[in-house]
Amino acid sequence: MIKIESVSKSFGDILANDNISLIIEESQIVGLIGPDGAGKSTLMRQLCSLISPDLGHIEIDGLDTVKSQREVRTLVGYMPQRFSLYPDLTVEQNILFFAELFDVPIKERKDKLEKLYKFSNLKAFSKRQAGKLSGGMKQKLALSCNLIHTPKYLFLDEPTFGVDPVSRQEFWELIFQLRDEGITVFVSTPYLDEASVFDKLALIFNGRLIAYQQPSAILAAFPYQIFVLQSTHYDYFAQMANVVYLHLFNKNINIAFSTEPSEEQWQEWLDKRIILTYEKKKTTLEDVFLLQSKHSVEL
Amino acid sequence: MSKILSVYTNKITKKFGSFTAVDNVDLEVYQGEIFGFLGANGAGKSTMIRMLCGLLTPSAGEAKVGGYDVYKESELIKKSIGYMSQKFSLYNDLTVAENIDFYGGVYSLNKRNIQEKKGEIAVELDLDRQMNRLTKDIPVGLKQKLALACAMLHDPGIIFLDEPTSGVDPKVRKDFWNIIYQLSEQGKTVFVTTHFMDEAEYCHRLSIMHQGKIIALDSPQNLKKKNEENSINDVFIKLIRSQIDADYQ
Amino acid sequence: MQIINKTRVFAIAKKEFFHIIHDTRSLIIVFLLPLIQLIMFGYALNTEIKNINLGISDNAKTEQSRALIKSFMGSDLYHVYSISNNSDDIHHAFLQKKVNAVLLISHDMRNLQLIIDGSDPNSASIIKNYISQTLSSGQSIIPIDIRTQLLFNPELKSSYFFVPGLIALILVMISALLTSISITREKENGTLEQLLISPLLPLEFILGKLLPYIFISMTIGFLILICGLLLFDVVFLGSAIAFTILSFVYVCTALSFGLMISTVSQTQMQAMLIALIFTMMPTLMLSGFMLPLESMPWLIRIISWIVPAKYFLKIARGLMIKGNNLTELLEPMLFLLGFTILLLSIAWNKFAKQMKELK
Ligand SMILES: Nc1ncnc2c1ncn2[C@@H]1O[C@H](COP(=O)(O)OP(=O)(O)OP(=O)(O)O)[C@@H](O)[C@H]1O
Ligand SMILES: [Mg+2]
Repeated sequence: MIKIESVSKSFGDILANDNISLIIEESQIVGLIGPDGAGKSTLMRQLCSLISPDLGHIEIDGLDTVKSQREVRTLVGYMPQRFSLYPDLTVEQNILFFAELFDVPIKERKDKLEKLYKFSNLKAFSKRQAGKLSGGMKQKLALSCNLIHTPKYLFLDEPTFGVDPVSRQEFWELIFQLRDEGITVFVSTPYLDEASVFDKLALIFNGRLIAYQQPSAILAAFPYQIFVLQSTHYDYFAQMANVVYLHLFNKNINIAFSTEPSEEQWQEWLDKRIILTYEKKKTTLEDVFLLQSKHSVEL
Repeated sequence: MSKILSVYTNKITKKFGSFTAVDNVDLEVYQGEIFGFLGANGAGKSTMIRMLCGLLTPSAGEAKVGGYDVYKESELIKKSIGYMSQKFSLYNDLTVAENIDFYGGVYSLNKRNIQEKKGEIAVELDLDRQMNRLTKDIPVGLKQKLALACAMLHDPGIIFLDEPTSGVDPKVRKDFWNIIYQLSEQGKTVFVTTHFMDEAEYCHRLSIMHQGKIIALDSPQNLKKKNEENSINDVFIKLIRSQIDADYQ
Repeated sequence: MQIINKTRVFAIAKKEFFHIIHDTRSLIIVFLLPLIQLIMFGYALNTEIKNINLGISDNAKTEQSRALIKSFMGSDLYHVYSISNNSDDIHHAFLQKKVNAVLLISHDMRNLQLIIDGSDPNSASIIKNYISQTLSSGQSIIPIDIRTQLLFNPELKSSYFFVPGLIALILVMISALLTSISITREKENGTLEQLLISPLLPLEFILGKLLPYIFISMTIGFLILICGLLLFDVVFLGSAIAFTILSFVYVCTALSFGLMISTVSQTQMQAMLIALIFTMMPTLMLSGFMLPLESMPWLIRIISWIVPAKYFLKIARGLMIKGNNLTELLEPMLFLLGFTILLLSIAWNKFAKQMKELK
């Protein structure tokens, strides 16, 4: 079990983590969701004892990450956002190097290697130098190097960066299998559709934890009904007082109101050709995300 | 819309030693189109783009970009295209303004021109107060948009984007695609690779590549209809899986 | 061939300049390192001997011999001790390092015998020189025929030799290092690709990279020259303008060499190693800086012809000690110019090939 208690961490005058508390149960996949620079990587790095919190503390299986750093490190595995390989070693040499580094028993190696090759499709390239792989292949190799040993807790920072949909599917299958074997996985990802099948999600915005629930509960808690309007009158809606969520995307407007418009109101808009069509939309994690992020620019 | 060809290839091939990365690919992309160039990892997408940009010489075949031949007129191609690579292409140790100045200079824009562009970019990306910050200190998503702006400084008609949205958050991705739409509306051709299948749905036409060959090419709607799937994600997985299975046998 | 576009060359140069000034730490290193090298090498190579412990055994005890001893005592070079003529005593004095040299004056003043501690042959020969000088200059009374005649460096200061050598060494090392990593860095970061798809010409790139580093290397050159003059109290008889022109040429040679290295190496690490090894070793060994070339085997002498530092050493020594003017130094300058053109065109060619097709 991982216990994060009131953790804060700042870099200079930037508060990267602001009083975060959460508990991660064993054998779970927990997704860490948030915009760029929200403090996801900072939290992960504290979990695997690479940096220590300014305030608060973290316990993994009852061990304090600061006081029992060595013991904690034998329990956890961590793949940073941009994991670099040895470009001059071949695919197989890279993986075997990590197998040796983490002392994976020789008997297990072959079996694991096969499993990893299945997800990565890299078997045919096992003799190729890592530097000559394509971007996504490099990422898959990095994943393989990190999954060759199985620590009890696995922290993955955007593991599927640049990985194609087929391999991604296989990758998550592998991860779910690991979970069923008792491993706890804490993972950040920008693929929100993939995150919707995790056990729990932690939403971090501006360093603060704003939700920690099952994905379905997060969606259920979304307070508004979203409509998709076919309309070019973005400005018209932008100045309405009861609009709580508004997003333009290629001539479609995604919008939500604090008080929903009446039938007559819709009809009026249609008649005046302010909108061409409108329909209700099922809330997705993306909507939750967009509603929360006010940091970046509107076009 | 009369159809002007932006990219044309005929049996273009690239070999690295005995390995064929791009295998006899025929492609036609028209002006103003947003063309989604999908494919599994290592399928040869980046290799293809690098050939079209003149970074790699094809091993065989014919290719024209903006009407210019990739073998003989690469200098002219360079002036009419923009390119954003999978790797980050700005100088992290320069400020935002210095990066813009530099790329403006490389494309030999004059001072006034660069100044104007800088103003435009500042407004468009809301970068005003960030101009003198080091590029490494600005958020990833903003960097990515800035990289695109720098690749567009010389106002090219065709733009190649190699996974422009990898590693940026969902909000920035949407913003980015709004920019892509605008470019397309201005009549620019956008040739884009991505592993986000929701983005693929936004393209006018798509191709799916596997081991150097294009195995499907059509509009997203037609692809879904033909393969009887609800999303491009499912189409992609179905097509690539069947290829992989076929390869095993 | 296409025409070079000035804007693009300056765009590269300016950008390069920004890289340098943003990276304060490296900038400090770039300027501090040469000074540290100068001081370290300088004091390590300083073969000058300040205190010669000289034992004198005066067996004549005449007015003449006393005058002779006085002339030694009058110079701050020596600590003079009186010593008996007993060979055991003398042996002992040497063993205990009480003396570096012993001068024996025979009772009839006819015969002067000089015994020097030869355990360090280098200092031994210097001591011999000093003593014979003192003997000849101070005492014409004594009919000793001294043939040693020293031109240009009457005080035999070793700094006259090593300061020009150090300028040559440090300049070539730093310059080659600077340019060699500046291109490989772009390769590693992936920014080179962005440049390759721009209309930038290979020659523009090369020239743009050269410009800012010429400026920096020249500054370093002046810095070590001035520090060398102040710290090691060397003369500078030539003109500053000549030094500027000639070191400009030398710096260009070194920078071009760095550029050439960067076309053959893939990583900054490789580039750095190659730059250091191929500048330091030849400059130390084959330029005439530490070891005189005349006494080397012919093969080495031939190889030394392609060591740029050899020519700059001529230039620097000529300017500082001999007060040569530009025309007298035309030959080494032309050699350096030739190297620069050769290296630059190799770098240009190789780079143009790479620009065509990225590895
Ligand atoms: N310089 C090279 N030498 C040898 N093989 C190479 C070289 N560059 C690319 N390849 C190979 O060519 C194939 C295609 O690579 P490419 O980068 O085009 O793939 P991609 O479709 O862009 O993949 P991704 O989605 O992962 O970016 C890969 O198998 C790669 O290993
Ligand atoms: Mg690619």
